Amino acid sequence: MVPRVPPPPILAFLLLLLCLKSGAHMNSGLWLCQQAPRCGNHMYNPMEQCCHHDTILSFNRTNLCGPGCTFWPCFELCCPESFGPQKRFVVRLKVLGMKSRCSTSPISRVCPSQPKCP
Amino acid sequence: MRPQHLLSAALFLAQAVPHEASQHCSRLEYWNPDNLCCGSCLQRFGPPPCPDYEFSENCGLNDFGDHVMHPFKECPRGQCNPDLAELCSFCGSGTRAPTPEGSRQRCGEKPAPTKEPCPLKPETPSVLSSQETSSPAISSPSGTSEHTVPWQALLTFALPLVLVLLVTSAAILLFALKRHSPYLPYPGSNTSGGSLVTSEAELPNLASQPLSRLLDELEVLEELIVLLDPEPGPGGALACGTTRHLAAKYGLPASWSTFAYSLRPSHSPLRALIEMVVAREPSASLGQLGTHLAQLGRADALQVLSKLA
Repeated sequence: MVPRVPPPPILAFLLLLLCLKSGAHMNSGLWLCQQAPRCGNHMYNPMEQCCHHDTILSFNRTNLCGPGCTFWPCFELCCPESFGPQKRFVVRLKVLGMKSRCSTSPISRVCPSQPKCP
Repeated sequence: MRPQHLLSAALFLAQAVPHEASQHCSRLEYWNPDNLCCGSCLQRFGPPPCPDYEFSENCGLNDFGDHVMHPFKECPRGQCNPDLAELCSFCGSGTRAPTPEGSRQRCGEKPAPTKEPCPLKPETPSVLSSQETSSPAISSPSGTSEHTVPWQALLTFALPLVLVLLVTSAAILLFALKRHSPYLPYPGSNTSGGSLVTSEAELPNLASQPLSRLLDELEVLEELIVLLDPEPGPGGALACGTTRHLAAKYGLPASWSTFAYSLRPSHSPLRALIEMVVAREPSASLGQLGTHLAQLGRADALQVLSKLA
């Protein structure tokens, strides 16, 4: 006995249900399910956000790195150099596709020790 | 003590301790303003790398997530920390200062990173690795992400497989056509003889040189920055053959290019790109850069790069 193939509309509906059930998000342009990355216990959109210490941040988020400069947590590391005679804050580039570390990432800029006067 | 001295002392103390304690968390925690919880300093930074150091108040973070102070500071006079604990204790007493009670709103628990090498010791890295974070996901999720592959996804394997086969076939066909068709020069580019250098064989000397050399040749780098960084015209980001497109050739997402361009004018996107590629792939060569420039139709930049051949 030949198994009966469901008609195309029903097949598309079943695929949609499977995508939704699998916890995947739908690409708005293409009907192609992708596994959404997780940050802690939440999913996030990697095209607009990043995961920074189990916190979802938008790409344009900035924070202070020392009193003298800002950095983009999604793309840069704030590396306080707390030891030695010269303490300073150094902003380093995150190496995309790898787990970035202060000891190996290239320097983006060295923050001034004092904030700039307005 | 005169009132003037008291006022001076108060002002001095105020300047010396600019960081206000967190409104939400205890001393050994920091406030996460996005998740609205208190994270552990130990879980974020690991234990103090050097003896006789302890965590600063809230590991130097304010309630907005800013790094306003260094995460570690030296023990107060009379206190020591030979065991690399979170806080110092009185030297020789053997007793440890009581650990401050944790806050109620605690973020999720996770294992603390391992201790970093102490920069004060000889033959140790001079930079404290205080952050290990994941970068924006490109094609694969970060280390903090969790993968779950439910068994139901296997049922949809056939459709993606067919799509992948179709895309691969189309890509192979396009590549084959491209190799056999004449290359169209970039409008306005300086093409001598109507053709561009398109292979590493025509610049053999570049292929053997590391890309990091470009960071040392400042004159050549500056010329390339002048040629590649600008995005002229009303199209701006729609201009062709810029650092933005070069970054795409190296596999970097558009979001990274947008970030790199936002660093201008203080930092060159091209320099940031070269640093990124060198850090990620130390074996990258100048020849590879030359190939990308040729593919982008930037004969002018290729001519500058050839000075290093």
